[in-house]
Amino acid sequence: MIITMLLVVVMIFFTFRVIPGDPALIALGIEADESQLAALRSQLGTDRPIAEQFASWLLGALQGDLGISLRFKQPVTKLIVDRLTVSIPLALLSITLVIAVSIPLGVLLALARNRFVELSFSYLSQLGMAIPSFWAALLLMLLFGLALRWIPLGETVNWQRDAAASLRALVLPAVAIALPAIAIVVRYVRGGLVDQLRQNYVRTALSKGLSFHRVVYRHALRNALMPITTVLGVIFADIVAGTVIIETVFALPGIGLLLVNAVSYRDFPLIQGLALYIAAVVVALNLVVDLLYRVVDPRVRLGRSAQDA
Amino acid sequence: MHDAVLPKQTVPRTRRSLVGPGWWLTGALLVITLWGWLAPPYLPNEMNVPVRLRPPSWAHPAGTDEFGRDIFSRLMAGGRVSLTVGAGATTFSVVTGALIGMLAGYFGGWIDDALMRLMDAVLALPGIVIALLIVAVWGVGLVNTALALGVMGTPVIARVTRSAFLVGREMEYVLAARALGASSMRTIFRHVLPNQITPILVAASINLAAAILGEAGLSYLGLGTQPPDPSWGRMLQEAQRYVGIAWWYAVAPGLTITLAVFAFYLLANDIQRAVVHRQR
Repeated sequence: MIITMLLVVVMIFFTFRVIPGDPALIALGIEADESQLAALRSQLGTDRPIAEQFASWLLGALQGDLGISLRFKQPVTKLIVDRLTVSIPLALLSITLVIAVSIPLGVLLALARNRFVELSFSYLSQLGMAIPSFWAALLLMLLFGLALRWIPLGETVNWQRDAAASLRALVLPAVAIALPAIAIVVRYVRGGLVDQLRQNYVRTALSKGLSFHRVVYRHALRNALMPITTVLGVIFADIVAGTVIIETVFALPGIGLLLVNAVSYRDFPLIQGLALYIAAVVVALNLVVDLLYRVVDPRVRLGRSAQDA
Repeated sequence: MHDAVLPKQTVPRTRRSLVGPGWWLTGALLVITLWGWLAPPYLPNEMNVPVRLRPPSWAHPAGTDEFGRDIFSRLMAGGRVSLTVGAGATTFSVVTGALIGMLAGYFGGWIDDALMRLMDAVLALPGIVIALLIVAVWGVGLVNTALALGVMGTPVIARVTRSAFLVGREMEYVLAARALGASSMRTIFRHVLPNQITPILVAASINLAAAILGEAGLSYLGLGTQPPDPSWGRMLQEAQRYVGIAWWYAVAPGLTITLAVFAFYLLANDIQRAVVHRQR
C-alpha cells in the first residue's frame, strides 16, 4: 500500500516533468516575454535540478503545502479544502442512496427467481450501466427542475447561509451519480446472494427450523457482503475523488469542477495537488475496505494468511 | 451441489444461439455509421437557420439543433468519431495491457510484483482523472483522447490477462511445449494466449464500452473531440442550454451513447456465452 502510494507520487510528479517543452511556456503561452517566463520558472521551481524539485515538492506535500495555484493565486491546499464542503456531503448522500436502494433491490431480485425476472434483470442492469451519468443528470434537471418544478435549479451550496437549499442543490446530482452505481451494485448483491442460497449451510439452517427471513438476512446476506463491500469501496472512492462530470453539469463547485478548471487553464501546481489528493483518498479508502472485511467476516486475517478459513 | 452450479441445458445446441443480441446491436450501429459516412441524409455541418430547433419529424427524425442542422446526421457523423476513438483506445489498452499481463502472469516472481504494483498505482486514480491528466499534459485532440482513454483501460486488461495466464501456465500443454524446447515467447504467444483468449476478448469488449462512455464524457467537458468534428458528448453539452425548449436535442445524443455502450456490454455477454457453448 505504501509502495503503491509512493509509485503514485513519483508518477504524478514526473508526468509533469517529462512533457516536451517548458511548463512555464505552456502555462503563459508563446506571447509571454522572457522576464515573465523566468519569474514563473522560479515560482514553479523548474529552473532547479529535477531531484531537488522532487524533494522539495514531496517535503512540502507531506506538510500540507502543495504550492500556489497559477490561476487562483491561492495555496492549492486551501482551494482543495474549500471544495470539500461540496464534495464530501455530495459523496455521502450518493453512497447512502446507492446502499439504500441496491441492497433491498438486490435481495428482492435474488428471491424472486424465475426466467422472466432473470432475463429482464440482466438486460435492464446492463442498460442502467450504459446510461451516461451526465445524460441522466440532464434528464433529471429537465424532469424535476423544469417540468415538475419540484426542485429549483441553480441553488448554491453554502452551509452557513442556507443549509436546506444547499441540501436541495445536492439531491439531483446525488441521484445522477447513484443511478449507474446502483445498476452495478445490484448485480453483485443479487449474484452473491443467489450463490449463497445454494450453499449447504442454508439448507442446514432451514431444516433446523429457522425462518426463511432470518436465514436470508442473518446468514446468507452476511456471507454475500464481502464482494459487495469491495465494489462499494471502489464506487465510493470514485465519488469522493470528484465526480468530475456531474459537478460540471450542475456547476457545483466541488473537487471535480476544480480539476476540470485546472486542466482547462493548465494550472500545473493545482493539477498535481489534486491528483495527489485523489490518489491519497483512493488508497486510504482501499485500506478502510480491507479493515472492513474483518468486521464483515471475522475469519479474514489481514496479510493473506486466511487460506484455511 | 454441482448440478446446481452448471448452466442449465435448456438452450438447444444450434448454431443460431451463438449470434446474440450484442452482435445484432453492434452490427446495426456499424451499418448506421457507415450509412452516415457514405450517404448521409444531410451534411452534418450544413446549417439551415429557418428550421432551427424543430422537433422530430419525417424530414428530421431526431429534430434539428440551434443552427437548423439535422441532429440524426450529426449523430451518424459523431458515431464515426466515437467508434474510431473507442477502437483506437481499446487497441492501445489491449496491446499494452495484454503484454503486461502476459509477462506478469507467465513469469510471476518479481516481474509480476513490479508490473502489478505499477498497475495498482495507475488504478489509484479514477479513469476519468487519468484521462484528464493526460489531456492536461499532451493537449486536446483526437489522437490524444484515444491515447488517454487507452491508458485508462490498460490496468484492467493487464489484470484480466494476468489471471488468465496464471491458470494457463499450469496447463500440461505448457509443460509439453517447454519439453519440446519451445522458447518462452513461443509458449506465450502460440500456446497459452490462444487458449486463454476469451477473458481478454470479453474485457476488450467492456473496455470499448467504457472508452465510448469516456470519450463522451471528455467531449462533454470540452476536453475531448474538438470542433469541427461532431461528437456525441459535445452535442449533449451544446443541448444543455436548450434543454427547456428543445427536449429532443438533449435526448437524442444521450440515447445514442446509451445504445452504443449497451451494444458492447451485450457483445461481451455474447462472446462469453459462445465459448461456454463451445466447451459444453
